[in-house]
This record gives sequence, C-alpha cells and structure tokens, in this order.
Amino acid sequence: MRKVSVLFLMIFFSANSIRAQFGINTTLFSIKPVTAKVSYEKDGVVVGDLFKVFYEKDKSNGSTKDVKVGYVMAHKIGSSTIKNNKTSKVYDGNTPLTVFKKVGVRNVEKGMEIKKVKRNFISYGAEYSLQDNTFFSGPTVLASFKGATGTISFVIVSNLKFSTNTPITYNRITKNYDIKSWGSIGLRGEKILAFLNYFQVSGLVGFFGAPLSVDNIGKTSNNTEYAYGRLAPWYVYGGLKLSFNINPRIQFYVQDLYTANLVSGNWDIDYHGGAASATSLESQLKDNLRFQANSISFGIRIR
Amino acid sequence: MKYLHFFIFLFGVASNSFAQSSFKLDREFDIQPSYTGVQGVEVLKVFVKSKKEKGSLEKAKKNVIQAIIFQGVSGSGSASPFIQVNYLDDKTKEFFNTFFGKKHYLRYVNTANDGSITPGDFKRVGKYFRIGYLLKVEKAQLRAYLEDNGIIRKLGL
Repeated sequence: MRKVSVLFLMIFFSANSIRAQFGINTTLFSIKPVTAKVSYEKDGVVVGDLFKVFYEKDKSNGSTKDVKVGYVMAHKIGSSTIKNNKTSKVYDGNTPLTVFKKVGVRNVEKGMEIKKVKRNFISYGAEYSLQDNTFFSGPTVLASFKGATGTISFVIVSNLKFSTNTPITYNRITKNYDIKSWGSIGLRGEKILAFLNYFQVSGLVGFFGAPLSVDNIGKTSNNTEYAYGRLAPWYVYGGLKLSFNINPRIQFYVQDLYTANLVSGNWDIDYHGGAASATSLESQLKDNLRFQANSISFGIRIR
Repeated sequence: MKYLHFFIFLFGVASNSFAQSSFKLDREFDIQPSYTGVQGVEVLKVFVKSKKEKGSLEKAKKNVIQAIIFQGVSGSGSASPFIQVNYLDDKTKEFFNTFFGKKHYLRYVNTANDGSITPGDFKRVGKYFRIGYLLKVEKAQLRAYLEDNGIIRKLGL
C-alpha cells in the first residue's frame, strides 16, 4: 500500500514538473489595462491565477538571465464560451484577452513575459482582533483553499478567546462556567474592490457558527461532572479589508468586520452522566459577549 | 567682445536652420526578414532601442520605412534600396522631411500580429530595452507613391 502511495506521489509531482515546463509563457499585450492573450479554453486560466512578470537581460559573458519585475493576478479571464461578470469584455478579433491586476508590481511594460506561478492549494494565516468580548476577539487561525480572488474562501476560525465567570444557575445549582476557547467553522467570501500596486481593498462577507469544540464548558469548580456544550448559533458578518501585498505570497492586512446575529435562540448544554438538560446560555453570555459588534483585526496571510 | 554673443547667436540660428533642411537617418535599429506575404508586401521584424515600450512601435514603423527606402533589407524582397541617401537633393530632402514629419509613412506600414511582442523579443541591453516588432510594409504602394511624387524613377523607364 505504501509503495502504491509513493508511486502515486511520484507520478503526481512529475506531472506537475512537466506541466511547469510546458506552462504558460507569453507576453503582456497591453498595459492599461494589463492584458495578455491567455484564455480559459486554451490555457486553463481561472480568476486568481498568479503570473510572474519578467524580462531577459544580457549578461557580460553573453548569456541571459531573467529579471523579475513583479506579479500580476488574473482578474477577468478571457473566454470565448463563458460570458459573465468575471470574464473579459476586451476582445481583439477572435482572441480573448485576460485582464490582470497588478500585485506588487509598478513598472510593467508591454512585451514583458509572464509565466504562471504555482501556488499552494491551501493558504493559511492568522489574525488578531483588538476588541474584547466579540466573536473575533484575540488570536484567530484561518485557512482557505485556493485563496483565489473573487472566489469564496473556506475559513476555519479557532481559538476565539472570550471568557466568562458569570455563574449560570440551573436546577438550583450554580456553576461557574469558564469558557476560554472554542472554535467555529464558517465561510468567508472575499471580493477585491480596488487595486493600487501593493495595496488592495476587499469586501468581506461571511457567516459562521457550529462550534467544533467547547470542552471547557461545564468544567466547574464545584461540580466535577464532565459536560460539553452544543451551541448552534449562526452569525453573519461583513466588512472591509485593506491589504498590503509585500509579496504575492505574503499579505498583511487590517480589516473591520461587523458581526450580526442570524439565529441565536438555540443554545443548549448537555451533561454526560447527569440529567439531560437544556438551558439558555445565551442570556448568561450576553453580558459578557457582544453578539452584534464591530471588530478591527490585523492579520497575515500566506498563500 | 560686445558682439561676440550676437555672432554666436547668429551661428546657432544658421546651424539650426541648416539642420532642419538636412535629412538624418536613424541608425539605432536592427531589421531582419521574417517571411513574405502576398506580392508587394514585406513582413519584417524590427528591433528598436528604447528606454520604454511606449512610443517604440511608432519608432519601429518609421525605421522600417527608412530601411526599405534608403538601406534595403538583405534576405528579403527589398534587398536594394529605392534611393541612395547620399544623393538626395534639397527638394527630395524636403519631401522626406514632410513624409516622416507628418507621419505619411503610417499609410504603408502596419503591425503583422496585432502589435503583440513574441516572447524573447523584449530584452534589456545596458540601459535600454531591445524590443522587436513584426511589421508589414506595403512595399509596392510605397514605391508607387514615391514614383508619383517624382522622387524615384519608374521601373523600366
């Protein structure tokens, strides 16, 4: 079994290297806007694909070397079959043109060569929110698949730190719940609104809920019963993100997210080994957690 | 000493007017034949030297017309020039000053592949870029235009 998996990996990586050798290598057709003659049908370009811009330079010994200028990202793909708002409307005869946005590049010239850059399938990053007692308080770890521009990123948010020592009374038993860490899972969509060389402004829309683990709920000081909470609220959020691309792979950003309550009336706590119960944790947490709140966070993303 | 500046000024004006009446060729380009299209049309690849790509296509178009008329392109259908630049009289010089100054040559040259630059034709050499364009020259029409204006003699006459 191991041999088969190793063989599969060898075939996979060799296929990737062959694909890199025969990858897209063409020149920029225009600068305003930045376009090139690559298309969805011929070259398989999709929105968010990254291309390295470079030119050749003669060396003193007669050989040439590639001088990298920067990177451009496919913004509207050229396609002769697909027509929507993510395809290019700039046509030149029968050749569809793909429109690019500059990512960390300033002086591009028509005629410079572009080459497709292989990117990670999973991008990852971390955020830190300044506000206390919000869903985005504290450090946040996130991961997204194919962190493409204009597509929906799948974001896993974890370690949302908020804590409460508010006593929760149930069946005349008062417990101090110490909720320190839990995780939620959600979808985040990012749409780039404007590009200005190294900077980009994006709009964020998403929702999350369904905590993955709330192990610390129920660990009380006076009751050793193990318990876990099953919280099922769903929240929507939206906001703006200002990013600084120091590198096409590394992005620093600051974002302002506003969280709104979508469904929140279904808070349950179940006890293992004890009497099955359900109580409203939400009312107890409301004093300590702002459900509709504005949070400013800083983050880094590696693609 | 008092009139020295005046004489220098006069000399400058005279030399400037002399420069306007003279005709100067741009030599900073390479040209090589690419392939032949229909009869009377030459497809040539012109490499120009420029600090930026902007404006270099117009420079390439001017250079290829100058090469066809005054130099000839060896290996193509226009190996011999239409006219020798050393034997231009004042009337001919004035004609070519107008021809290139008012960009009348643009009627006889066009890009062969909608202006795109093929990979490898954009290279940095020193402080400049060496940019190659594939241009299509209407050689027969250009020759007819020059013949009609009396610049060159008609073939066979």
